[in-house]
Amino acid sequence: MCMTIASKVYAEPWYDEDDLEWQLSIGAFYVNTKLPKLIGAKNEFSSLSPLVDAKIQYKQFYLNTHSGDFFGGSDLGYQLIQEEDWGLDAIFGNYQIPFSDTGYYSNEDDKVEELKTINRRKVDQSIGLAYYQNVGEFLAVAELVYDVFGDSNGWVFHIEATRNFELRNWDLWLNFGANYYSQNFNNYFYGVSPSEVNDYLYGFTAGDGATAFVQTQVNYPVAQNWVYSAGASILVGSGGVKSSPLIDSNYARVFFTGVKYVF
Amino acid sequence: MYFRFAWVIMVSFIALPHKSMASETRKGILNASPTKCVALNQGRTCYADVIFDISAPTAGDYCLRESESKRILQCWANTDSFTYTLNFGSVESVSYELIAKTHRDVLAVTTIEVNWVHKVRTKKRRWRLF
Repeated sequence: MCMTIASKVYAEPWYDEDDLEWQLSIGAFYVNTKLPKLIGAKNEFSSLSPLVDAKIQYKQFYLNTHSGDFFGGSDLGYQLIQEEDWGLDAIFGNYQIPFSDTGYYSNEDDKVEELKTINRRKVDQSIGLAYYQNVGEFLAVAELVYDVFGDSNGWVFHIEATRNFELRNWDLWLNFGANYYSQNFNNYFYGVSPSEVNDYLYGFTAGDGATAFVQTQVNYPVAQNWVYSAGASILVGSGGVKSSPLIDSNYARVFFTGVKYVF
Repeated sequence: MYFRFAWVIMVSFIALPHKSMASETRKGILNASPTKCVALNQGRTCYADVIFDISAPTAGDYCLRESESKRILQCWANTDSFTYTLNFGSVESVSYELIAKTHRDVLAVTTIEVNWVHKVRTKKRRWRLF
């Protein structure tokens, strides 16, 4: 009797296997990143790093993680409406890189003298809607998100256009767009509160802000299950960001190249 | 540690093509190289310049054709060895056969396998962090 029950449980997983798609990739990527310069802190990072990425789709849910390309991060979403030429998703994501008194990455050893009084800027945890529309050969996207679980109480509006060129077995992916950050969002990251003032930082209230970016990536199947990728991304922020005493430059870029094995 | 991990990946990657090349060098009447074509995604046309190397046992008139459609790629007269370069492009595996022109006998068959890397095509690709 017990045996029968056990085998029945094993035969019927909690999910519908026909609706589940997943893919895991591991690889090694060289990534060179230059972020907007925080005063006194390191803002260029180079590393040869392992990559472990996952793509999971179950019914209308999807999760894509990107550890090796561009600025990292994950896409988590739920497809609310899916038509032939357009769609509407509920999305969760991060739109700003966090930093603290050690600079951009918390594993840096020492506090930066110029930043020693600042509070930690935690990554935003934004939720919102993404509208997708095919426009000719381009996929246009508009996203409106609010930092629901973060500390900024701000929102971000994001637009972009993407086109993928198939050149024999190569993929050439082009992407460009812009972001608008609300005053609350921008001020959380780039404002300086009275308690943070020190010899290097004066009190500052940031206004709203904007950035524009362009990115490209090539992918090539070098062998069964192996893919070579390389890409570059450039982003320029509005002058308002640069006027913050925390920031010396409002420019970011990434280069990356590497190979990955796709299971 | 990152470097050690990366080395394992790199060494595996470098070693991989050698293994497949070894299997492609076995000699027969009809040899194709490469015998595998890899596309990024399922359903996408895979392109390759495939070289057919034919070594017939005796001189004669031969043709190379697609097995399924029977479409003739090229014929050769009064010879026993020749090569042919095919600008291959297909979404699925294709077999090719060497036939004797007079009797239409199939002397040898080889298949160009089409594979793909990604089973899951990413539907969405959102912008990254700052």
